[in-house]
Amino acid sequence: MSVISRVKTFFLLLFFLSPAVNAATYIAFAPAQLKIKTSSGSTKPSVSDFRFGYQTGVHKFELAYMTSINDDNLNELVTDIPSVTSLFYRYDGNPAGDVKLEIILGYSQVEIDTTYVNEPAFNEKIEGFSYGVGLEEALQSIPQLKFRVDFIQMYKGDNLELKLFSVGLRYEF
Amino acid sequence: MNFKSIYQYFIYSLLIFLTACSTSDNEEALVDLFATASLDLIEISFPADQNEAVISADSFSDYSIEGLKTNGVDTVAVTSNIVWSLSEGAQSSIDQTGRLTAGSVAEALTITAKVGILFATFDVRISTAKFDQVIALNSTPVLVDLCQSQVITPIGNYINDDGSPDEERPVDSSVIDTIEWLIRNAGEDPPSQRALIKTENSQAELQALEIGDVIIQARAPSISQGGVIVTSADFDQSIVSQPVALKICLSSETDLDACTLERQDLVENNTLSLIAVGEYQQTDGSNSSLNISELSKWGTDNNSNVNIVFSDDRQQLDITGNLINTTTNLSVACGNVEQTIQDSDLVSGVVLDTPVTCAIGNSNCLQATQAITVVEEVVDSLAVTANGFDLVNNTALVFSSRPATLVFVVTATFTDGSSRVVTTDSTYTDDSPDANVVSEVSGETGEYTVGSTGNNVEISISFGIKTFTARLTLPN
Repeated sequence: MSVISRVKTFFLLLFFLSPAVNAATYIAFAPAQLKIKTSSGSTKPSVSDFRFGYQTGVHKFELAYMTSINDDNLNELVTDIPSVTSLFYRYDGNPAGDVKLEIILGYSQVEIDTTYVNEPAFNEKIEGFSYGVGLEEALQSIPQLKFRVDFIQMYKGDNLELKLFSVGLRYEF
Repeated sequence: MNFKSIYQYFIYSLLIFLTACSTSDNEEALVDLFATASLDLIEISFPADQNEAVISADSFSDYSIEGLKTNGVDTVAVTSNIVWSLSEGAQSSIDQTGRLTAGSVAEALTITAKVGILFATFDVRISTAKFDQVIALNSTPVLVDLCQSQVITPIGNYINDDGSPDEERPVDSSVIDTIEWLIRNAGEDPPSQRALIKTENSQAELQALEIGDVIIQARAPSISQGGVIVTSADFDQSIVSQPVALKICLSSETDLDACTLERQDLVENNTLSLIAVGEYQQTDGSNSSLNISELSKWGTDNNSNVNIVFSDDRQQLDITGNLINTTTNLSVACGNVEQTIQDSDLVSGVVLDTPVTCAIGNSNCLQATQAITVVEEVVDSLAVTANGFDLVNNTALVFSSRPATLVFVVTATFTDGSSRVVTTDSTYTDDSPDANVVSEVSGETGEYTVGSTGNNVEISISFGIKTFTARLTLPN
C-alpha cells in the first residue's frame, strides 16, 4: 500500500471522527534527532518534526511529516533525511495525571540520502512498523499548549535501526 | 458511525500496514555502506607478499587484505567486517577468519573478500604436489638488525607424482610447524646463540641475538618421501647491523626517540615496568627508536631487593620492590654478553639474577643500566571494619547482640592513592577498659574471642605511621 493511499485513509478517519464528543484537532512541532544505527556505526542527522492530529479521549491519531535540518557523517559518509512520513496512534496511559505517558504505535517511511567518496549518491526509502513512548505535560499558563517528548523506534530491521528522539510543543484547537 | 467502530477501523488499517512492506531487503545496501565507512576505506586488496597463490592439497593458509583509506594515501590491514567466500564449485572451504582449507584435489579457485560495498578477489591454485624439503630460508634475502626479528617464509621443493615439473614455492603453513631449525656459527659445530628461529601460529621468525655469521639448516619430514626426515642444504645468514645506542625507558612512554629515565624510586610491593629502547640508523641516514626488550638480555646486581620478570608478551620488564631503602642496578644488553646464557633462556627470554655486561672493547654489544631505589610505602589513612561493620576512629560502635568473635579487617590507603588490605601486617594492642572482655585468637591476626563479661572493647591498630582506635560497645 503506497504512502498516498495511507494518507487518504488517515484523512477518511478524521472525517468520520469530526463530530465525536470530547474531540480536538491539534498541531505539534519539534526539532528531532533521527539515529541511523547499524552494527558497524551510526549517524544522527536532525529533522524538523511536524504533526497534525486528532484527539478523542485517551486516543490520538497523528500524521507526521519531517524534513531535514542537518546531516551527520561517519568518517567520509554523509547521511541526510530529506523526508519522513508517519502515521501514529497514541494511547494515553495516565489520563488523570498531569504528566501524560503515551504508548505510540504506527508506521513510518524514512527517506535516507547518503554520499560517500568515490561512490554515486545513494537514496533509499526504508519503511516499517514504528513504536515508542511519549511524555507530555500542559503548560499551566496556556493549557492548550503542551510540552512533549517522544522516543520512537521508527524502524527495526535485521541490521538497521532508525530511532527518533524529539522534544517540542503541541497545541490543541 | 460511533467511535468504537472508527477506532477498530484504524487498528485494522494499522494491522494491514504491519503485514505490508517491511523493507528488510532495502536495508542491506545502506548497512554495507556503513560497514565500509566505519573503516574509512575506499578500496581493498590482497597484498601479494602476504597471500599464497599456490597451496598444497589438504593444507591450509591464512589470507589477509589491506585497505586504502579515504585520504588515498594510507593503507591499513583490514581485520573486521570482512565476508569471505570462494568461487562456486570449489572443493576447498574458507572460514570467516580468512583461513582457506584446501580440499584433496587439484583445483583453481578465486577467493573473494567483501567489506561493505568493497570487493577484492585473489586467484589460488590448489596443488597436489608433495613437499620434499626446504630449499631456501626466504624468498628474498633476510636483512635483520641485532635484537630484532623478521618473519621468514621458507621456500620448499614440491614433487608431482605424475611426473610434472617440480614446484618451488613457499612452504605450507602445515609444513612450517614440522620444521626443526639447526643454527650454528659459521665454521663451528655447536649450536649457535647468535640467532634463533621461533615458530608460532604456523609462522617462523628469525631472531637476531648477536653479531656474526651463522649457517641455518631446515630439517623436516618429506611428504613426497613418505615422511623421511630430510635436512636441507646450508643457508648462510649474516647479522651485521646493530643499534647505535641503547637506553632504558618507562613502558608508558610513547615517544621512544625522546624518552629518558632519571633517578627512579620504586615504592615497596609496587611494580614498575621498563623497556629497552634501541636506536637504529636507517638507510636514509635518519635514526629511529624501537622497543627491543624481548630480544635484549636483562640482569640485576641484587635479586633480593627487587624481583624482575618479563611480561607475558616480553614487551616490557616488570620490577617489584621488596626491601625498602635499598638501591638495585638494573642492567640490559643487546648482543653477546660476558655472562653464560642457557639455550632455554634464549627461548623464554634472558633475565638473569646477575648483572649483564659487555666485555670491554666489544663493539658488537651495547649495554645500559638504571638504578632503582625501593622506598617505603607512606600510609595516608587506615579504614577498619569489625565483623563487616565500618568503624569510625575512636568512636564506639554499639552492637545489638553479643558476638562470639570479633574479626577486624584493616585497609591502608597510601599517599600514591593505592590501597590494600594490611590486616595481618598490622599490630594490635588491647586497651579495653573491661578486663578479659576479648582475648586474641592464637595464630589469627586481627581475630578476638569475646568473653562472657565486660561491655567495652578498645583495640589500638597500627600500620606504618598511622594508628586507628577501634572501640566497640557489647551488650550483656
